[in-house]
Amino acid sequence: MRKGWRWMLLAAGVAAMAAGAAATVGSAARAGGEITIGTSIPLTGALAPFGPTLKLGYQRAVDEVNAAGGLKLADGRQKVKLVVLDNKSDPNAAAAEARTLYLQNGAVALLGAATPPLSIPLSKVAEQVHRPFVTSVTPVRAWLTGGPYKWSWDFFFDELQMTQRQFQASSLVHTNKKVVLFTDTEEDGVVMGKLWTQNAPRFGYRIVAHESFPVGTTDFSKYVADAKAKGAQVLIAQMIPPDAIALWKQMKAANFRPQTAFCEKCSNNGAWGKALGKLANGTSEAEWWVPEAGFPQSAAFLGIAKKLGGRSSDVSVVAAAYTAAKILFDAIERAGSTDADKLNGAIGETNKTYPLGPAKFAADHHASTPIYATQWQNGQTYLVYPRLKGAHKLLAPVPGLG
Amino acid sequence: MTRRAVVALLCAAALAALYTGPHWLSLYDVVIAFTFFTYVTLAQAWNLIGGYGGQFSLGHAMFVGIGSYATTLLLIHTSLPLWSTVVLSGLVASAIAAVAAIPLLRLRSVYFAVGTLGVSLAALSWMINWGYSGKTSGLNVPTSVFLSFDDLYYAAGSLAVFTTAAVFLISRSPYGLRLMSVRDDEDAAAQLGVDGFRVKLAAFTLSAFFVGVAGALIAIQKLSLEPYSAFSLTFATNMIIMTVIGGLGTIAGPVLGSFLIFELQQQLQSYQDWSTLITGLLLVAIIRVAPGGIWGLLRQAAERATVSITALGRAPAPDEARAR
Amino acid sequence: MHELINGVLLGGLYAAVALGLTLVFGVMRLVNLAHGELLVGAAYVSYAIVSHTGLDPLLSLTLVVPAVALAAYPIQRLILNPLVTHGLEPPLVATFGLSIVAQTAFVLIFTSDAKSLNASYAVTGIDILGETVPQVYVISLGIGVALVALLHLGLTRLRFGKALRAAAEDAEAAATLGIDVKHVYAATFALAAALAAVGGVLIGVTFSLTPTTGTSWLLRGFTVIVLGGMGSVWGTLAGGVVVGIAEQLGATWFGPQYHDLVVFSLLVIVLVLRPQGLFGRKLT
Repeated sequence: MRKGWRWMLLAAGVAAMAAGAAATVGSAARAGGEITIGTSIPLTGALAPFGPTLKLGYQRAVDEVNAAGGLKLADGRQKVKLVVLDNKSDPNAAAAEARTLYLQNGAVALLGAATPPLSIPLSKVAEQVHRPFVTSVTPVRAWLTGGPYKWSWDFFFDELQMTQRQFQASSLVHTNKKVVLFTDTEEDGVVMGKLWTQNAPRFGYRIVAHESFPVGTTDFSKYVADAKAKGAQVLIAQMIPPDAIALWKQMKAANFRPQTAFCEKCSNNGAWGKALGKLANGTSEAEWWVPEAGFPQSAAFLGIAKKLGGRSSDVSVVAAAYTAAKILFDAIERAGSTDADKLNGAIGETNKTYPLGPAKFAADHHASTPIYATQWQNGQTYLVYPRLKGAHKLLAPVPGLG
Repeated sequence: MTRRAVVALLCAAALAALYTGPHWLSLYDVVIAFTFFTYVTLAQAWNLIGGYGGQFSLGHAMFVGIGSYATTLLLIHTSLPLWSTVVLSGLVASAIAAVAAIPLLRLRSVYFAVGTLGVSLAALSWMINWGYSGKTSGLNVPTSVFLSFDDLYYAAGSLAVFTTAAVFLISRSPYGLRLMSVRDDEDAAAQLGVDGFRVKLAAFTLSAFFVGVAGALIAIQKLSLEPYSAFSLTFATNMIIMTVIGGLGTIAGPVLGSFLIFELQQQLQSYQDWSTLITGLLLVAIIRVAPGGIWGLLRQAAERATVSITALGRAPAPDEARAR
Repeated sequence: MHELINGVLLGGLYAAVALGLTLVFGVMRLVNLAHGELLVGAAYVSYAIVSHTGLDPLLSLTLVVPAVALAAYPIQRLILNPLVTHGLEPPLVATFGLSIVAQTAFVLIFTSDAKSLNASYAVTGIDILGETVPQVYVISLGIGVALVALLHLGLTRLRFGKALRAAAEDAEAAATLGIDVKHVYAATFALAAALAAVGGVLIGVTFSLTPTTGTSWLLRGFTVIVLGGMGSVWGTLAGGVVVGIAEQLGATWFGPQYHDLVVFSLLVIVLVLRPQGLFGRKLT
């Protein structure tokens, strides 16, 4: 008799818990009269430097639209509700959050994260649930390997173009045309490495050394010694900021001072200048937004740059996120509804100039932004190539490493 | 009602609810149930070797990745039907587990744990550099492979039920007894003629099979793979946390633990960067309060409650009063 | 030749990083999954001090070490001590929980931007047998050796050190001898944190810091102590040097992209062939 009681009680307890949980699970957030837009971004984890600036850009677009009374649909204006989730830079979490946003929060469309490892899983979920997904800050060739896409869209730079800028910018100063590549084994490191090797001869450059290493490498002294021995005067790197910081310190200690040094994926954020101080000066990088380009709202974004601590790619991420959101909102208004098919079709018809530049999607759903080269000078990044009005002189040899 | 009858009734009810799920659950719930079911499978599979076997594997994430990649490669390069690739992936994971077990199972306790971690990380490093599997670019599951959300739900649900049933039957079998005797005192078991190595090997490879199959299903849901997320250490840590918090070496423990962790993740999703902090704090709090797992805590509580309730109805016997 | 020099120098840094890990395991059989966060946390504290005072990072250790040790003592006493008797799993889950709490705290307080502890000796070279290496590499070797020697002396000469070794050998017997085992455990954890502080600051000066840097250093630390012998102090130095050299040679012989694979394979091979490592399991 006692034993039976014990198990009855336990069963009752478990059942109560399950019932309670079931009541909370499945309670979908219905926003009445509001359009829900979701985004899963890396606010923590390895890609966290992108998170806050993506959020800033998306929020700016949302605030702008809501200040005007909301998006104009066929049956009246509706405000936009932005739901932001943190995927902790984990592709598995990103996919799970995408499903939550689409299916529980009822998001009519999702805005993207940064980098292919996050944007591709998000795109895949969009393809599964048949609802639109618009992203930026994801190099298009790498993103396209996850295709073909019917519902997903990407507006960012094309790696084929981006891997030319380093040579074009270096030609602004005198070098011996010998290049050393430092690439990590991440997907973009491998792809960029191949593209740079391909592009170098076209501009009269020669790759004399190609150092490839896993992410998380800390000691680069061997590679630096190799680059020095081979007499390289142009350095092009594709690595993450923590690794690049270690590399730069070791280069200075080894007295390796190239004429030009590009640090892609590393010297873009404001953190580069803050972390290295004077050592950061002279580092160059490819950039997808500069105020000198004269696209819409350049002055406004320059103001944001100052608030973020100075010119760097941080504000370019804000501009990119803002652009992606605006593309989505303009499409919603063009379609006059949030119906998935109509909205998706409307995105495909985008043909307008945004802060990032002219946006018009190709048949495979990508659109390319212009690319520039900038250089760190006195704690901020300035345009050095192409020679638009307001461009700074490219300083060589690299001041910080001298 | 006997205890067995009550438990059997509850299980039957749960199974009925599970298999009619898509009819009464919202689409969202059907979709996320997949994740819950894979958690249960992974936790229960780890419980077999970690809880009943006493071998604390930190490297089980490797089998998730192996299952994911095996099934994707088979789908890309052969014309085998989907279900055979899934089962084959489990077998591939088992085979690799068997090979790894030969050197590793000789190690005890923390050395085994670190050893499995080392093998798992070596596997990740290998996959990053292996051209056949696409290195860091990874692979895409062929677009011809299509499973609806309902299909995924049933597949994962069945796997979870199957794994739990298998572990349950094993724990009650003579083999299970031998496994637990090895866990409790390998030397003493050896004196009784139990070959510790073979017993642990069987558990390890069987555990890897379930994890491999789960990995295959995960790949089919994800549709794209790359090494870091396929071999993610998070799988290993989740498996361990769910089982330990639920109750190591019990059947209900992993199920309970999976449910708790899963619910926690769901509830905290909207808290952005605070969600990880809260998860960590809760983990520390729970394990501090219930090192034996919550299932054990619940049983104790139920026992005490039952004793108090049944004792309320009659005058306490002299020895009972003193004990209380 | 270059590889050997670099390997030995970095070995000193790796030893400093891994000492706390081996100490905690040797005394309490505790695998501290939050060790990486002890390293990085101390480095962040140093960063905070350095950015406000301009103090040299290594000098800031005079403030960082006591701060970190004081914070670590109650963690062991209140949270981990009761779990040590429950087997391997609960402390692992607890330290894992602590590590993710710490990582998130770092993000919230310091943002996830990569940071560097700047010092002139990190960006200046010194000539060693024909190779130019950063001065901080040599400093790290010196510090690593000094820490190992000091710890060894402490364990063998000081009364507290002997109490520690007694508790490591047999906690129950030690208790009967009047040793407050709970206090010894907590003090050990505090000491491990203090050692980790030195390692962490060296990491920040020589390389860089992010909230997640701790994880990769934890793994490296594991490799070092497995090779040297989990629980052996001199073993940590030997293990550090072996790992340092193996990383360099592995990169040269097999290609730099296999660098991780070489190190983890080495870990597994050593575990399988000689689990007690080079120096065995005794705590000295």
